[in-house]
Amino acid sequence: MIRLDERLEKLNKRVAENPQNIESWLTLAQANYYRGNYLEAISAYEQITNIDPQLWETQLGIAQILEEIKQYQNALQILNKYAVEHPNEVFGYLLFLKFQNNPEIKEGLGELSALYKKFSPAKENIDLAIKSTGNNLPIIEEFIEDLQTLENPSILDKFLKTTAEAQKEQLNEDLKKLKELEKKAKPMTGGELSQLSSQMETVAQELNASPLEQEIKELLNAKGIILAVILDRKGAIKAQFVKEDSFEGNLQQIFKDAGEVLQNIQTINNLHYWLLEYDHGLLVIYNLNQDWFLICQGMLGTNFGALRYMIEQKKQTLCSLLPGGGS
Amino acid sequence: MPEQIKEFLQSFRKIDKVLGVMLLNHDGEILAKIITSDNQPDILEQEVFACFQLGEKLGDLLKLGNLNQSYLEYPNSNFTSETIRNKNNQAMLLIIISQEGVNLGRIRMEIRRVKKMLEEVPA
Repeated sequence: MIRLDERLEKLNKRVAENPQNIESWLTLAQANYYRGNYLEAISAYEQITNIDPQLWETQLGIAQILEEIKQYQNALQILNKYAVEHPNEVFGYLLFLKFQNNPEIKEGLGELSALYKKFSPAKENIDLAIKSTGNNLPIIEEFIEDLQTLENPSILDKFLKTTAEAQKEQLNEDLKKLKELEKKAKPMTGGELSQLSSQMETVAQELNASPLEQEIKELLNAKGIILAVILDRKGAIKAQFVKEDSFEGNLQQIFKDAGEVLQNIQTINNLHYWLLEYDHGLLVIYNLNQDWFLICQGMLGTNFGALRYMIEQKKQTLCSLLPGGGS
Repeated sequence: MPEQIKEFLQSFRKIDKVLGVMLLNHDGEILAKIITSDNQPDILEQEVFACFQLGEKLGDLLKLGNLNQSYLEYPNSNFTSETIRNKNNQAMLLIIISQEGVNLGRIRMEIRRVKKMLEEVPA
């Protein structure tokens, strides 16, 4: 926290010296938000709107803060206005979904539900992403994720711990169900058999996983990540981990084609990473060393900042487990 | 028309640590280019374009839908690219070259603002 407080002091100085600098105000708003100084964060966002009224996204930052401090009417008013003016922007919709998960504000969302109906095809993916993020989908996440990881890694550690606990709980629940099934001792239906078989396959996959596969499997703990593969410069897969039922297709062929293109990019050895954002998710291509790439696929709403932090933590271990060592 | 596009792209110059901005058509030809610094970027625009084409292909194969935005980070510079479709539904690639430490949130905000104007540009 000391580092963040020092940073806030510097940022305050910076905006005082150059009050027309939007970047400084934005960074100040983000830092205050993380420090829990909500009113100061709102004030900084308002300054941005005063400088350039077209930067309407700052309004979403304000609406999110208002919801967090239980100023529901004001938060709704802003989101309503935003939704009418920018009905096609998915960022408003994401905030709407966050509001939907708050029982105290949910009732006031009637008109917004109609406005955002067009996003329903993406709803399933987004809902899944929200679920996997523990219902924490801040609309300004993309602006602040770097700050979050750099300034307060404990947030990430907490998230990882929660995820591990949730997995443990799930395992206990599964065991309970299994015991109940044993008690009933009825013949299994085709669906139950197929589910059990799929679970057993996953367990077998985990038990047989090499140390390298175990390492990349842990990357799937980052919220929203469904696929992690390590491949060489020609696109040949060395290790992979795929979340159950999340992928259909020939990964070997897909990444072989990718490898051929990547080889032709002369400066590829200098690349740190490449982030690609699509309609339905994201891909990250990380340059582990001169021989190996790590590629991760995430759903919509994946926290890239958290993933990057995890990759940086694991990079050295991954390289040491790969042929060629840590070169 | 290129002058009009250049005018739209000028707004990126006011962002700290932005080295340049350019707009390519779907064949990789430069429609407009503004370089604001003498610093040499780590890769050439044609390589960014090759990455874009690969990104589109991967999105297709992995059923991820359209590629909207990508970000390449190099030791001395980074590249944010955004796919933009004009009135005739022709894709263009907006590329912003910046230095380490640039406020990416700010770049993204500016992209969304400029994108709306570029979408209105006739072919």
